[in-house]
Amino acid sequence: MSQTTLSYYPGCSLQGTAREYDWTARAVCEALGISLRELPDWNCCGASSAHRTDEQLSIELPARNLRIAAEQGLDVVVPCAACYNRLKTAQAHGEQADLAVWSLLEVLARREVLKRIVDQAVRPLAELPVVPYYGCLLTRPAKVLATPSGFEATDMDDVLAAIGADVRRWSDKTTCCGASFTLAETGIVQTLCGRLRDAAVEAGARAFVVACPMCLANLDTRQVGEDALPVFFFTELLAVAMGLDVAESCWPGHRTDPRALLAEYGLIQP
Amino acid sequence: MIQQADDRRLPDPGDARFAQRIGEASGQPVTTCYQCQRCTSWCPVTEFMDLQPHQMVRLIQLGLPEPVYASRSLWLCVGCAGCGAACPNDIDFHRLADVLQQTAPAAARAHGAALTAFDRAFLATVRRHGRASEVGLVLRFKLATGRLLADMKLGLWMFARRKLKLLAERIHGRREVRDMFRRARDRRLGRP
Repeated sequence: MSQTTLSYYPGCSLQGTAREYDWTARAVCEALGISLRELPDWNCCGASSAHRTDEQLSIELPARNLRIAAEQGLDVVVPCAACYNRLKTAQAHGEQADLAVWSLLEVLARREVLKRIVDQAVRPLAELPVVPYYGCLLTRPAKVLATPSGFEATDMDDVLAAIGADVRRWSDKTTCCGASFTLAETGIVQTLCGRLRDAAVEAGARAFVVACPMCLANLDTRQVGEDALPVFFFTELLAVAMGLDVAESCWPGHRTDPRALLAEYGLIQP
Repeated sequence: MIQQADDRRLPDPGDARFAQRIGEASGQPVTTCYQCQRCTSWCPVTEFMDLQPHQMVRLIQLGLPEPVYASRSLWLCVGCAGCGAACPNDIDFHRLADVLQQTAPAAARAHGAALTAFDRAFLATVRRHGRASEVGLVLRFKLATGRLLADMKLGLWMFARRKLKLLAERIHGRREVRDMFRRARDRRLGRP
């Protein structure tokens, strides 16, 4: 990927509950000289509901987007982990297999981009202790995503280290948060998110960092109790470190308000 | 004296075609499972299950659809794919769960009523607009399940923060998307 202009597939969540991910993804890419062109007339990837319902439907929905992207002739970048997973799955079924489809995290963790991030990090994160949380859909199945193993993940660690976070080591980087069960099986999601919170606290973290709208929604709204940890999209912390104004418009959209924590580390005005 | 064969009858042989059907539809080599239980060890939701993932695979191998479709476990696979990453024989159990959900008879759906309602609500908004609508999803899900008051505070908070988009985005290619859904319905009803 040597292009600096990419097709951008935001996906449905980024127009609603995860709009903060969309805002910061666009702002961070612009600041880094990566130009994003939203894919014209894109449709929903079908997400988990499609593959639980009909095999062929779950391939045809993302395939339409891949066809549109192929016509554009640019590599595709996808911020949402679920959309990314479905587009890659359709490619594994032979749909536009030669098209390059990247997760936003992969793009921003590339060595030359990381260098630019370091250069532009005017307000490094002052050793804010966080755990990078990748979840499932960015990492598995490994054979579809061409990642080294279904349980390994390091890109977010690199990005967060580049902006001065204290990246805590923990063993639940790729443990499930409950994903699309948030409405149908709320109790299960609460159990899984509670366990992730306990593991993150044990690792010394004060916040989660994610690259998936479902991970954020679940952790942000389904940690039960008083001691919930705030959750950030990794692009939100990039926006903070790079001094981009868009960051401050994000915080009201977090159910577990991160502003006290950011103020404690001198990253926003109290 | 030679014992008569019917005095030591074997249990009913299962439906061998069941394993083959599920294996082919999911693209998974179900017959290679040797019960190491790594899928179950990794699975994050086993404590909620009546049958564990490795037990479901064994029942599929034995050709016994009834207990598989009668279990609640079928509807608890969250699709995290950890089972597949852990499996030494390259079986993605979550793909088996997908196919079992897709093919579940109506009676089996009772165990997965909430998840089925969620999926139908989600896909209804996609079929209609070409994109998912979070507001449409929540309203349809609540009406279908009667969980009218669940998450009320959260919903109002999201509404107040304008996180929910009230009007769904509609794409120009809606007809193409609707055709995909029509083909899926025809497949389900066994139409050519």
